[in-house]
Parts: sequence; C-alpha cells; structure tokens
Amino acid sequence: MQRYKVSVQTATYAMKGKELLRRNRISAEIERRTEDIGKYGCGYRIVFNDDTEETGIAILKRNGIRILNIKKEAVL
Amino acid sequence: MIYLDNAATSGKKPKNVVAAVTNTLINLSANPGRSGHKLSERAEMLVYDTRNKISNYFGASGPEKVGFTANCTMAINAVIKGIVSKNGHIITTDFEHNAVMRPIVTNGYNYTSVSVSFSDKSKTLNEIEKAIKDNTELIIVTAASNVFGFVTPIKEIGQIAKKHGIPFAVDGAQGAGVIDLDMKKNYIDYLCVAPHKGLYSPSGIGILIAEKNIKNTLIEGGTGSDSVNLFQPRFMPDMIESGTQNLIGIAGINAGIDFIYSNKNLYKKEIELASILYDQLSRIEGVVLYTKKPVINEFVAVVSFNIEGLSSQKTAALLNDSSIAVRAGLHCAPTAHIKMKTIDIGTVRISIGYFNTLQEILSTVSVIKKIAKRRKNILNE
Repeated sequence: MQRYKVSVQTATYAMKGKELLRRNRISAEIERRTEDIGKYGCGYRIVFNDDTEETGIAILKRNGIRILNIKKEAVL
Repeated sequence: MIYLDNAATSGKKPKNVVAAVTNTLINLSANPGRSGHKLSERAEMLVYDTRNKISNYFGASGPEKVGFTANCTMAINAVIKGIVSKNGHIITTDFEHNAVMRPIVTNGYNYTSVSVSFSDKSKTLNEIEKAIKDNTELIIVTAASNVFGFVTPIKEIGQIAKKHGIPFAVDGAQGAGVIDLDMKKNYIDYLCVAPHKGLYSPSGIGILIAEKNIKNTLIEGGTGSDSVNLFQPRFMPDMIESGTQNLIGIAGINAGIDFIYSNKNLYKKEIELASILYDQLSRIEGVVLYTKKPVINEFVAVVSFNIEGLSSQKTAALLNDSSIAVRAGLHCAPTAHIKMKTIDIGTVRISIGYFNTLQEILSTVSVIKKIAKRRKNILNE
C-alpha cells in the first residue's frame, strides 16, 4: 500500500478527483501543495492510499483529471 | 409594484437564494481556492458544488466544463471571439439580442443571419443548412426571443450543426431555467446563461458551459492555478475565470437551481398566465399584438404589445404611473423588431415570472384597458 500525493492543475480538478475516488470507495482528501511552487505555481493535490495496481491513479487519468505529478510514499 | 419585467431580471428572488447570499456574505467571505486556509477551501467547495449542480442541471459532461463570467453577454463574447477566426463564418438568426449581434458585427465577422419561420420549422432548418459554407466555424442562436417569446428549434439546429461538424452555441439568457436546454440531448457545445433571469439568482454573474475547446482567451489574469506560468491557462474553467469569482453570485446560483428543482411546474405556471394575459389583451380595442397566443414549448412567458397611436415608451410610462413595471422600446434586440416590423415604435414587453399571480395579470389588463380607452385623449395632452 502506498500513499499517493497527486498534484493537479486546478482546485476544480482537485475536487473532481477527490469526488471520483470517493465514488470508487477510495478515501481521499485535498491539501494545498507545499512544494514545486516554482515549477507548477500554487495549487492542490489529492492525497489517498492506493494499491500496487494504482487503481486510483487509473481512475483519475481515465476521467481526464489534469495531473502535474505523482509522489508516493510507503504506508507503514 | 406589480413587477412584469422578469425578462430583464427576475424581480423577486426566492427566500432560499436570499438566505444563501446573506449566509455567504456573513460566514464565507473568502477568496475561493486561492489561499490555503479553511475558509478559502470552504468557499472553493461551494464553487465546486455549484459547478456540479449546473453541470447536472444542463446535462454537461462535468463540473470542469462550467465557468463563471461577469454576465451572459461576456460568456457569449468568450465563445464568439474564442472560437471564430478572422476568416471564419458565423450562422445566426434574424432575431438575436445585441449580445450576439454586436460582437459579430463590431468585430467584422463574416456572418449569415437566417430568417426564422415561426410557422414552418422545416423551412428554418433548411435555411440554416443552406447557409453553411466551407468556412462556417460557429452556429449561434438564441434559445428564445426576449421580445416576442418565440422558442428556437434548438435540438434540430443542434443536429444540423453536429451533422456538419460545426460548433453550436446557444444564448440561453431567456430560456435557461424554463425550456429544455440539456446540452447532451440538444447537441449544444456552448451554453451561455444569465442566472439572474430564469435561475432566480443575483445579477453580476454569468455562466459559460463549454463542452468543446475555446482557442482564444477573452481576458487574462490571475486564476489561482498554474500561477508560475505567465500565459493564461488554456483549459476550462480557468481559461475564462481571471480574477476573483463572484462568490455571492455563485451561492445564489446554487440556491436558485434548488429552487427550480423544487418548482417543476414553473414553466407551466408562467405560460398559463401569459396565455390568459394574451387572451385578455386581444379583446381590448386599440391593443396590437404581434404573435399568436403563447403555448408551452413554443414560447417563453413574454408578450409584446402596443396601444394604437401611443409610443411604446408612453404606454410603459403610464403603466409605471400605476406601479406596473414593464419594459418598452427595442429591448436591445433591434433585429427582432426589424423582423416583426416594430423597429420604428418598439413594443411594450410584459415578461412573467414564477412569483407573478393571476390577480396581478388581471389588474394589469384593467389598467391597459383604461389607457387604451383614453388613448385619443392622451394623444391630445
């Protein structure tokens, strides 16, 4: 299990992404992005735990969520 | 006052809209999504929830297709100037509001104004299809006439546009909240809405739902997104939302849509009153009417008339003296008046809203009757 922090382009996409994941029973939250400001500007990321098949990421991409980058860290 | 100018703006706002606006002013005065604090996030959630509601109500493919503008006119400008190239051709109708005509004419776009037949829909559709050229880049039509109430055959025009691969835009200022403007069902690519009319929301905000791309930006500025980039974002909704959004207006739209959902008989009620008004006016000597009786799906609740010998402005002034609010003149739609041959005198327009009552209509008819009876005396004054 990994924790994913998916930076998205706009607040609208962040909210839509969160809604999509929740509808697919993946618990997600939104937080303000704290790094890469100089690269992407200010913005939001969607934070959720995902399996190794990256089901959540696939859902976001399939639904046209504009993803800037994906960071993952192991969930202990 | 008897308010019968709902085509200009809905005169009475529902209690839930007033409550939503007040609550936002008191408890949610923050810039949505721009700052990272809780209040800003709550404000952004309201904005997103409203986009979702609008998307669901109008059959759009998602909340990200919904953008907020200063008003419906700005939404229309964003579409026309955003899509059509200098050498492009536009098809529109011969009874559009200036919100459509002025951007087209002022900016020198090549266009065809198709004559709409109100008695023969197939004739209208044939004319539109005949007007298509190799360089036609947009078909844009009004959903309903703000002067005479006619409803345009949106779905059939949308089918023609789709068949020829031409983007189709609708000026929904008069129709939204009343007639069916489901974008998917009607093949609409761009829908422009004036929420302060049929959605019973505050003024100072418009809606643009864009299912297809917009090439050119209208205004550029801060969007709270991609902020390191000095170029304007090229994706909806940020592309058209430079600067701080009108959160009060957005809260009002959110509640306005709830109001529409909970009053499904709204259109029926308005048309019934318009029909009674028309019947009563048609019996008054000296009153001139210009259309057939309003019926559901063919008209919105707008009736234009004149009193023989009086200017439309004079009639409206006399009604105002009796505390009846109507609008007279050309209604920012000179092409509609040219079509109906009322360009020299304009018309008096009565536009009915959900909160109007039968008693108000009958009282108005009574005043019009008195004015018509006295018209020769009035002329001599």
